[in-house]
Amino acid sequence: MSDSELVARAVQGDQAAQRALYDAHVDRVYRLAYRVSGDDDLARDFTQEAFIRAFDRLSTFRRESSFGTWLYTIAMSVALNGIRSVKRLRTREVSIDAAETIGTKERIADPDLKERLHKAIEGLPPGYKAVFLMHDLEGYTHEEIGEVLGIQSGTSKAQLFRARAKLREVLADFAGVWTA
Amino acid sequence: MSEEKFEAWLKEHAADYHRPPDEVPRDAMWDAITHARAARPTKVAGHIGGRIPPMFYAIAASLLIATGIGLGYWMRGPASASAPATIASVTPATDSAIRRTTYDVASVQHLTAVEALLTSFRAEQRSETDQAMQRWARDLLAGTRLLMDSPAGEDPIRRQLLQDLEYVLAQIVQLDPNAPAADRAIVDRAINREQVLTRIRSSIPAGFPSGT
Repeated sequence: MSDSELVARAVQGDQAAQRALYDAHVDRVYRLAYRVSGDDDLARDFTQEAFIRAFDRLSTFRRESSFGTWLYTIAMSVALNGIRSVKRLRTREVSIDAAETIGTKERIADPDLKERLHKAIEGLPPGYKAVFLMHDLEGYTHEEIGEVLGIQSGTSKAQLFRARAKLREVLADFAGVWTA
Repeated sequence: MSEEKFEAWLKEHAADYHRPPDEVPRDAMWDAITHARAARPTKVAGHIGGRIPPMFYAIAASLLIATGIGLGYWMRGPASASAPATIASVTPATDSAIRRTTYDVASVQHLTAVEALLTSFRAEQRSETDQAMQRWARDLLAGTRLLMDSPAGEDPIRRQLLQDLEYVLAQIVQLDPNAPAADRAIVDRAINREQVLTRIRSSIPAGFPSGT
Protein backbone atom coordinates (compact mmCIF):
# COMPACT_ATOMS: atom_id res chain seq x y z
CA MET A 1 0.00 0.00 0.00
CA SER A 2 1.35 3.46 -0.89
CA ASP A 3 1.96 6.24 1.60
CA SER A 4 -0.96 8.18 0.10
CA GLU A 5 -3.36 5.32 0.76
CA LEU A 6 -1.97 4.82 4.24
CA VAL A 7 -2.31 8.53 4.98
CA ALA A 8 -5.94 8.48 3.82
CA ARG A 9 -6.65 5.61 6.21
CA ALA A 10 -4.60 7.04 9.03
CA VAL A 11 -6.55 10.31 8.88
CA GLN A 12 -9.67 8.24 9.59
CA GLY A 13 -7.99 6.93 12.72
CA ASP A 14 -6.87 3.58 11.32
CA GLN A 15 -4.21 2.45 13.81
CA ALA A 16 -2.77 -0.16 11.48
CA ALA A 17 -2.22 2.48 8.81
CA GLN A 18 -0.55 4.76 11.34
CA ARG A 19 1.72 1.94 12.41
CA ALA A 20 2.55 1.16 8.79
CA LEU A 21 3.50 4.80 8.17
CA TYR A 22 5.54 4.75 11.35
CA ASP A 23 7.36 1.56 10.34
CA ALA A 24 8.09 2.96 6.90
CA HIS A 25 9.71 6.15 8.17
CA VAL A 26 10.81 5.74 11.76
CA ASP A 27 14.34 4.62 10.94
CA ARG A 28 15.13 7.73 8.92
CA VAL A 29 13.49 10.01 11.47
CA TYR A 30 15.37 8.41 14.35
CA ARG A 31 18.67 8.52 12.43
CA LEU A 32 18.17 12.21 11.71
CA ALA A 33 17.27 12.93 15.31
CA TYR A 34 20.30 10.99 16.49
CA ARG A 35 22.63 12.76 14.08
CA VAL A 36 21.39 16.10 15.38
CA SER A 37 21.43 15.21 19.08
CA GLY A 38 24.05 12.48 19.45
CA ASP A 39 22.04 11.11 22.36
CA ASP A 40 19.70 8.14 22.41
CA ASP A 41 17.26 9.63 24.92
CA LEU A 42 16.98 12.89 23.02
CA ALA A 43 16.73 11.08 19.69
CA ARG A 44 13.86 9.01 21.05
CA ASP A 45 12.15 12.09 22.46
CA PHE A 46 12.48 13.97 19.19
CA THR A 47 11.32 11.00 17.12
CA GLN A 48 8.29 10.42 19.32
CA GLU A 49 7.43 14.10 19.33
CA ALA A 50 7.72 14.26 15.53
CA PHE A 51 5.32 11.35 15.03
CA ILE A 52 2.88 12.65 17.63
CA ARG A 53 2.79 16.02 15.88
CA ALA A 54 2.56 14.42 12.45
CA PHE A 55 -0.37 12.18 13.40
CA ASP A 56 -2.10 15.09 15.12
CA ARG A 57 -1.79 17.23 12.02
CA LEU A 58 -2.29 14.54 9.42
CA SER A 59 -5.56 16.08 8.29
CA THR A 60 -3.66 19.26 7.36
CA PHE A 61 -1.17 17.36 5.16
CA ARG A 62 -1.87 18.75 1.68
CA ARG A 63 0.07 16.20 -0.36
CA GLU A 64 2.07 18.95 -2.06
CA SER A 65 5.13 16.94 -1.09
CA SER A 66 5.54 13.30 -0.20
CA PHE A 67 4.47 12.19 3.26
CA GLY A 68 8.10 11.36 4.02
CA THR A 69 9.33 14.84 3.19
CA TRP A 70 6.53 16.40 5.23
CA LEU A 71 7.36 14.15 8.16
CA TYR A 72 11.11 14.84 7.96
CA THR A 73 10.33 18.55 7.94
CA ILE A 74 8.50 18.14 11.23
CA ALA A 75 11.24 15.91 12.59
CA MET A 76 14.03 18.34 11.74
CA SER A 77 12.07 21.21 13.21
CA VAL A 78 11.51 19.28 16.44
CA ALA A 79 15.13 18.12 16.62
CA LEU A 80 16.75 21.46 15.77
CA ASN A 81 14.52 23.41 18.15
CA GLY A 82 15.02 20.80 20.84
CA ILE A 83 18.78 20.69 20.54
CA ARG A 84 18.94 24.49 20.43
CA SER A 85 17.23 24.60 23.80
CA VAL A 86 19.50 21.91 25.17
CA LYS A 87 22.63 23.67 23.95
CA ARG A 88 21.54 26.98 25.35
CA LEU A 89 21.54 25.30 28.71
CA ARG A 90 24.80 23.47 28.44
CA THR A 91 27.70 25.06 30.19
CA ARG A 92 30.37 23.64 28.01
CA GLU A 93 29.85 24.32 24.36
CA VAL A 94 32.74 23.89 21.99
CA SER A 95 32.63 26.46 19.25
CA ILE A 96 34.41 26.09 16.00
CA ASP A 97 36.77 28.84 17.17
CA ALA A 98 37.66 26.81 20.22
CA ALA A 99 38.28 23.78 18.08
CA GLU A 100 40.56 25.89 15.92
CA THR A 101 42.52 27.11 18.93
CA ILE A 102 42.95 23.63 20.28
CA GLY A 103 44.24 22.47 16.93
CA THR A 104 46.86 25.11 16.39
CA LYS A 105 48.22 24.95 19.91
CA GLU A 106 48.20 21.26 20.51
CA ARG A 107 48.93 19.59 17.22
CA ILE A 108 51.31 17.12 18.77
CA ALA A 109 49.77 16.81 22.21
CA ASP A 110 46.27 16.32 20.80
CA PRO A 111 46.61 13.94 17.89
CA ASP A 112 43.07 12.69 18.07
CA LEU A 113 41.91 13.76 14.68
CA LYS A 114 38.52 12.18 15.03
CA GLU A 115 37.79 14.18 18.15
CA ARG A 116 38.97 17.34 16.42
CA LEU A 117 36.75 16.60 13.45
CA HIS A 118 33.74 15.96 15.65
CA LYS A 119 34.30 19.18 17.57
CA ALA A 120 34.64 21.05 14.32
CA ILE A 121 31.33 19.63 13.07
CA GLU A 122 29.77 20.50 16.42
CA GLY A 123 30.94 24.08 15.96
CA LEU A 124 29.46 24.57 12.50
CA PRO A 125 26.70 27.18 12.23
CA PRO A 126 23.33 25.39 12.60
CA GLY A 127 22.27 25.83 8.96
CA TYR A 128 25.55 24.51 7.58
CA LYS A 129 25.55 21.67 10.05
CA ALA A 130 22.01 20.55 9.21
CA VAL A 131 22.82 20.44 5.50
CA PHE A 132 26.13 18.67 6.13
CA LEU A 133 24.55 16.02 8.35
CA MET A 134 21.70 15.39 5.95
CA HIS A 135 23.78 15.32 2.77
CA ASP A 136 27.15 13.86 3.68
CA LEU A 137 26.13 11.59 6.53
CA GLU A 138 22.55 10.61 5.75
CA GLY A 139 22.57 10.78 1.97
CA TYR A 140 19.70 13.20 1.35
CA THR A 141 19.71 15.00 -1.98
CA HIS A 142 19.88 18.78 -2.15
CA GLU A 143 16.29 18.78 -3.43
CA GLU A 144 15.13 16.79 -0.40
CA ILE A 145 17.14 18.96 1.96
CA GLY A 146 15.66 22.08 0.35
CA GLU A 147 12.14 20.81 0.93
CA VAL A 148 12.79 19.63 4.47
CA LEU A 149 14.61 22.77 5.62
CA GLY A 150 12.50 25.16 3.57
CA ILE A 151 15.38 26.49 1.50
CA GLN A 152 16.28 26.43 -2.20
CA SER A 153 18.32 23.45 -3.35
CA GLY A 154 20.95 25.94 -4.53
CA THR A 155 21.15 27.32 -0.99
CA SER A 156 21.62 23.80 0.28
CA LYS A 157 24.53 23.29 -2.12
CA ALA A 158 26.08 26.60 -1.08
CA GLN A 159 25.75 25.79 2.61
CA LEU A 160 27.31 22.37 2.12
CA PHE A 161 30.21 23.96 0.25
CA ARG A 162 30.74 26.47 3.07
CA ALA A 163 30.43 23.78 5.72
CA ARG A 164 33.13 21.69 4.06
CA ALA A 165 35.31 24.77 3.59
CA LYS A 166 35.03 25.62 7.27
CA LEU A 167 35.89 22.08 8.31
CA ARG A 168 38.83 22.05 5.96
CA GLU A 169 40.03 25.35 7.37
CA VAL A 170 39.75 24.17 10.96
CA LEU A 171 41.54 20.91 10.14
CA ALA A 172 44.17 22.53 7.96
CA ASP A 173 47.05 21.34 10.09
CA PHE A 174 45.97 17.78 9.37
CA ALA A 175 46.00 18.30 5.60
CA GLY A 176 48.65 15.65 5.16
CA VAL A 177 46.23 13.02 6.35
CA TRP A 178 43.88 13.30 3.39
CA THR A 179 46.44 14.25 0.77
CA ALA A 180 48.59 11.23 1.55
CA MET B 1 45.55 18.63 -2.36
CA SER B 2 42.36 18.05 -4.23
CA GLU B 3 38.87 18.94 -3.17
CA GLU B 4 37.72 15.44 -4.05
CA LYS B 5 40.24 13.83 -1.75
CA PHE B 6 39.15 16.00 1.15
CA GLU B 7 35.45 15.32 0.50
CA ALA B 8 36.04 11.58 0.34
CA TRP B 9 38.13 11.69 3.51
CA LEU B 10 35.54 13.85 5.24
CA LYS B 11 32.63 11.57 4.38
CA GLU B 12 34.51 8.55 5.60
CA HIS B 13 35.69 10.03 8.88
CA ALA B 14 32.65 12.14 9.68
CA ALA B 15 30.42 9.08 9.39
CA ASP B 16 31.15 8.32 13.05
CA TYR B 17 29.85 11.69 14.16
CA HIS B 18 26.69 11.00 16.21
CA ARG B 19 26.46 7.64 14.49
CA PRO B 20 23.03 6.18 15.27
CA PRO B 21 22.90 2.65 16.67
CA ASP B 22 22.11 -0.07 14.14
CA GLU B 23 19.07 -1.12 16.11
CA VAL B 24 16.29 1.48 16.12
CA PRO B 25 14.08 1.10 19.22
CA ARG B 26 10.95 0.94 17.10
CA ASP B 27 8.57 -0.83 19.46
CA ALA B 28 9.57 1.15 22.54
CA MET B 29 9.04 4.44 20.72
CA TRP B 30 5.74 3.27 19.22
CA ASP B 31 4.52 2.29 22.67
CA ALA B 32 5.48 5.72 23.98
CA ILE B 33 3.71 7.44 21.09
CA THR B 34 0.48 5.50 21.46
CA HIS B 35 0.58 5.89 25.23
CA ALA B 36 1.14 9.62 24.97
CA ARG B 37 -1.60 10.11 22.40
CA ALA B 38 -4.05 8.04 24.41
CA ALA B 39 -3.25 10.04 27.54
CA ARG B 40 -3.86 13.36 25.85
CA PRO B 41 -6.34 15.48 27.80
CA THR B 42 -8.99 17.70 26.27
CA LYS B 43 -7.38 20.45 24.26
CA VAL B 44 -7.40 23.91 25.73
CA ALA B 45 -8.00 26.98 23.63
CA GLY B 46 -5.48 29.76 23.87
CA HIS B 47 -2.07 30.77 22.69
CA ILE B 48 0.72 32.59 24.36
CA GLY B 49 3.54 33.45 22.02
CA GLY B 50 7.04 34.73 22.22
CA ARG B 51 10.27 33.55 23.76
CA ILE B 52 9.86 33.62 27.49
CA PRO B 53 12.50 32.34 29.88
CA PRO B 54 11.58 29.02 31.52
CA MET B 55 11.81 30.53 35.01
CA PHE B 56 9.06 32.96 34.02
CA TYR B 57 6.82 30.01 33.22
CA ALA B 58 7.42 28.60 36.69
CA ILE B 59 6.45 31.87 38.35
CA ALA B 60 3.55 32.45 35.97
CA ALA B 61 2.35 28.89 36.44
CA SER B 62 2.49 29.19 40.21
CA LEU B 63 0.53 32.44 40.12
CA LEU B 64 -1.95 30.98 37.69
CA ILE B 65 -2.42 27.86 39.78
CA ALA B 66 -2.94 29.94 42.90
CA THR B 67 -5.40 32.17 41.02
CA GLY B 68 -7.18 29.17 39.58
CA ILE B 69 -7.52 27.49 42.92
CA GLY B 70 -8.63 30.74 44.54
CA LEU B 71 -11.16 31.25 41.78
CA GLY B 72 -12.36 27.71 42.19
CA TYR B 73 -12.95 28.15 45.91
CA TRP B 74 -14.56 31.53 45.33
CA MET B 75 -16.94 30.10 42.77
CA ARG B 76 -17.82 27.19 45.00
CA GLY B 77 -18.77 29.78 47.58
CA PRO B 78 -18.90 29.50 51.35
CA ALA B 79 -20.00 26.26 52.93
CA SER B 80 -22.89 28.02 54.63
CA ALA B 81 -26.38 28.15 53.16
CA SER B 82 -26.65 31.59 51.59
CA ALA B 83 -24.44 32.41 48.65
CA PRO B 84 -23.76 36.02 47.66
CA ALA B 85 -26.02 37.43 44.98
CA THR B 86 -23.13 37.88 42.52
CA ILE B 87 -22.35 34.19 42.59
CA ALA B 88 -25.96 33.18 42.43
CA SER B 89 -26.27 34.96 39.12
CA VAL B 90 -23.73 32.64 37.51
CA THR B 91 -25.38 29.58 36.06
CA PRO B 92 -23.98 26.22 37.18
CA ALA B 93 -22.98 25.28 33.62
CA THR B 94 -20.99 28.49 33.10
CA ASP B 95 -19.46 28.19 36.53
CA SER B 96 -18.28 24.68 35.80
CA ALA B 97 -16.95 25.55 32.34
CA ILE B 98 -14.99 28.55 33.62
CA ARG B 99 -13.50 26.54 36.44
CA ARG B 100 -12.54 23.70 34.14
CA THR B 101 -10.92 26.05 31.63
CA THR B 102 -9.07 27.90 34.38
CA TYR B 103 -7.63 24.70 35.77
CA ASP B 104 -6.84 23.38 32.29
CA VAL B 105 -4.88 26.52 31.45
CA ALA B 106 -3.12 26.43 34.80
CA SER B 107 -2.22 22.77 34.25
CA VAL B 108 -0.84 23.36 30.78
CA GLN B 109 1.20 26.35 31.98
CA HIS B 110 2.55 24.28 34.81
CA LEU B 111 3.41 21.32 32.60
CA THR B 112 5.22 23.65 30.19
CA ALA B 113 7.38 24.90 33.05
CA VAL B 114 8.09 21.36 34.26
CA GLU B 115 9.04 20.33 30.73
CA ALA B 116 11.54 23.20 30.61
CA LEU B 117 13.02 22.19 33.96
CA LEU B 118 13.36 18.51 33.10
CA THR B 119 14.92 19.32 29.73
CA SER B 120 17.38 21.62 31.50
CA PHE B 121 18.14 18.95 34.06
CA ARG B 122 18.87 16.33 31.43
CA ALA B 123 20.94 18.73 29.39
CA GLU B 124 23.04 19.76 32.37
CA GLN B 125 26.52 18.33 31.93
CA ARG B 126 27.94 19.12 35.34
CA SER B 127 27.96 16.54 38.06
CA GLU B 128 26.52 19.10 40.44
CA THR B 129 22.97 20.27 40.34
CA ASP B 130 23.03 24.00 40.69
CA GLN B 131 21.02 25.65 43.39
CA ALA B 132 18.92 27.73 41.03
CA MET B 133 17.63 24.55 39.44
CA GLN B 134 16.80 23.10 42.83
CA ARG B 135 14.87 26.22 43.80
CA TRP B 136 13.07 26.05 40.48
CA ALA B 137 12.26 22.37 41.08
CA ARG B 138 11.02 23.18 44.59
CA ASP B 139 8.63 25.82 43.24
CA LEU B 140 7.34 23.43 40.62
CA LEU B 141 6.98 20.64 43.16
CA ALA B 142 4.77 22.93 45.25
CA GLY B 143 2.74 23.80 42.15
CA THR B 144 2.40 20.13 41.26
CA ARG B 145 1.03 19.32 44.71
CA LEU B 146 -1.37 22.24 44.55
CA LEU B 147 -2.67 21.01 41.22
CA MET B 148 -3.03 17.45 42.50
CA ASP B 149 -5.24 18.72 45.31
CA SER B 150 -7.26 20.96 43.02
CA PRO B 151 -9.98 19.98 40.53
CA ALA B 152 -7.21 19.72 37.92
CA GLY B 153 -6.19 16.53 39.66
CA GLU B 154 -9.62 14.96 39.25
CA ASP B 155 -8.82 13.80 35.74
CA PRO B 156 -7.27 10.36 36.33
CA ILE B 157 -4.74 10.58 33.50
CA ARG B 158 -3.58 14.04 34.52
CA ARG B 159 -3.45 12.97 38.13
CA GLN B 160 -1.21 10.04 37.25
CA LEU B 161 1.09 12.37 35.34
CA LEU B 162 1.18 14.84 38.24
CA GLN B 163 2.00 12.02 40.65
CA ASP B 164 4.89 10.89 38.45
CA LEU B 165 6.08 14.48 38.19
CA GLU B 166 5.89 14.88 41.94
CA TYR B 167 8.13 11.83 42.30
CA VAL B 168 10.69 13.08 39.77
CA LEU B 169 10.68 16.68 41.06
CA ALA B 170 11.08 15.48 44.65
CA GLN B 171 14.16 13.52 43.57
CA ILE B 172 15.66 16.61 41.94
CA VAL B 173 14.92 18.75 45.01
CA GLN B 174 16.54 16.17 47.28
CA LEU B 175 19.59 15.71 45.09
CA ASP B 176 22.67 16.62 47.07
CA PRO B 177 24.61 19.50 45.45
CA ASN B 178 27.67 17.29 45.45
CA ALA B 179 25.86 14.20 44.30
CA PRO B 180 27.86 11.97 41.99
CA ALA B 181 26.82 11.45 38.39
CA ALA B 182 25.35 8.09 39.36
CA ASP B 183 22.73 9.83 41.52
CA ARG B 184 21.76 12.09 38.67
CA ALA B 185 21.50 9.02 36.48
CA ILE B 186 18.87 7.62 38.85
CA VAL B 187 16.72 10.70 38.28
CA ASP B 188 17.39 10.44 34.56
CA ARG B 189 16.21 6.87 34.59
CA ALA B 190 13.06 7.87 36.46
CA ILE B 191 12.34 10.48 33.80
CA ASN B 192 12.86 7.89 31.08
CA ARG B 193 11.03 5.06 32.80
CA GLU B 194 7.89 7.09 33.34
CA GLN B 195 8.25 8.72 29.90
CA VAL B 196 7.32 11.96 31.59
CA LEU B 197 8.67 14.28 28.91
CA THR B 198 6.74 12.58 26.15
CA ARG B 199 3.61 12.52 28.28
CA ILE B 200 4.01 16.18 29.18
CA ARG B 201 4.52 17.17 25.55
CA SER B 202 1.47 15.26 24.48
CA SER B 203 -0.51 17.04 27.19
CA ILE B 204 0.41 20.45 25.84
CA PRO B 205 -2.02 21.38 23.08
CA ALA B 206 -0.75 22.26 19.62
CA GLY B 207 -0.07 25.97 19.35
CA PHE B 208 0.93 26.32 22.95
CA PRO B 209 4.61 27.24 23.23
CA SER B 210 6.81 24.40 24.40
CA GLY B 211 8.80 24.76 27.57
CA THR B 212 11.89 23.93 25.58
